[in-house]
Amino acid sequence: MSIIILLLLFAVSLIGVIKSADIFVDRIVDIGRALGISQIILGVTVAAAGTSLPEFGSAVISVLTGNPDLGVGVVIGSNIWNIAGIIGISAILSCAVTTNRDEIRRDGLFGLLSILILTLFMFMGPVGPLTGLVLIALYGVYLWILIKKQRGYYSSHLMDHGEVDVKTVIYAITGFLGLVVFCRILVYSAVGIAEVMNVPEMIIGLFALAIGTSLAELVVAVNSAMKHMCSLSLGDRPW
Amino acid sequence: MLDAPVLIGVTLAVMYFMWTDMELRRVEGAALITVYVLYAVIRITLTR
Repeated sequence: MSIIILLLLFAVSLIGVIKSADIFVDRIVDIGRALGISQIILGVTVAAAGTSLPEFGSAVISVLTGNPDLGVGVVIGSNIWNIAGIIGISAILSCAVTTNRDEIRRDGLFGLLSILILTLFMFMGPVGPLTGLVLIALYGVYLWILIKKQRGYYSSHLMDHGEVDVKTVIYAITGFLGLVVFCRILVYSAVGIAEVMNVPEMIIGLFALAIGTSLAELVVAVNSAMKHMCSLSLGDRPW
Repeated sequence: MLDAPVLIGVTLAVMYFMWTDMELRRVEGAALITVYVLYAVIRITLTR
């Protein structure tokens, strides 16, 4: 397949992945709210995991289709891009990105700890289920701390309960299916580009896929920086 | 071998910049972008 068609497929599927993830997360929040799932759980999980859905989807599809280098590249590349690229661009465009000590202690330390654990396991040999379990457990602890922190906010900000209608469910399913299909096309085109350009898949994952799947975060960060809502840029950073 | 040290390095850098005065200034943002560009250039060059 020619490089132009592959690049076109890559761009279109990237937009599809981001849009599908957006639709899926929005509808899941609606459904969760209607089912009476705690606002704390919804808020924290959507804020923490929802914005990383494109990276997560493309990494999972990469591994499942026998391209683990691409998957690892997306995850590590996204982290480096989010910290150095997006936060850096936010700081340049805005007055200054502000935060507080609690956020640095909590988010920074958990981010650092997860990287150190992953690096340690990678030095010890191939990353296996044990590494996954340890990292998921660490993420569980992080979510628990976030939920504890948010409890006060949500108890003072009561939200309306909605109803689950068929349209919302159809949108959620469409969003999920779109995410899977577009992630598959994205991975297919990324592997194709790597082959045609004779570039390792890891490089495509580290840069093209990592930056591409983080476009939504970049847009949010740039918008908030331009409006001088500087701390929002840091909050959007998915540790 | 370059990816994990860079990831740890930029995380520590952001934590340090933030910890000192609770702000990430323009010059510090520019430093982060420079590190990212250098990393990209070195990583791609080393692979080829």
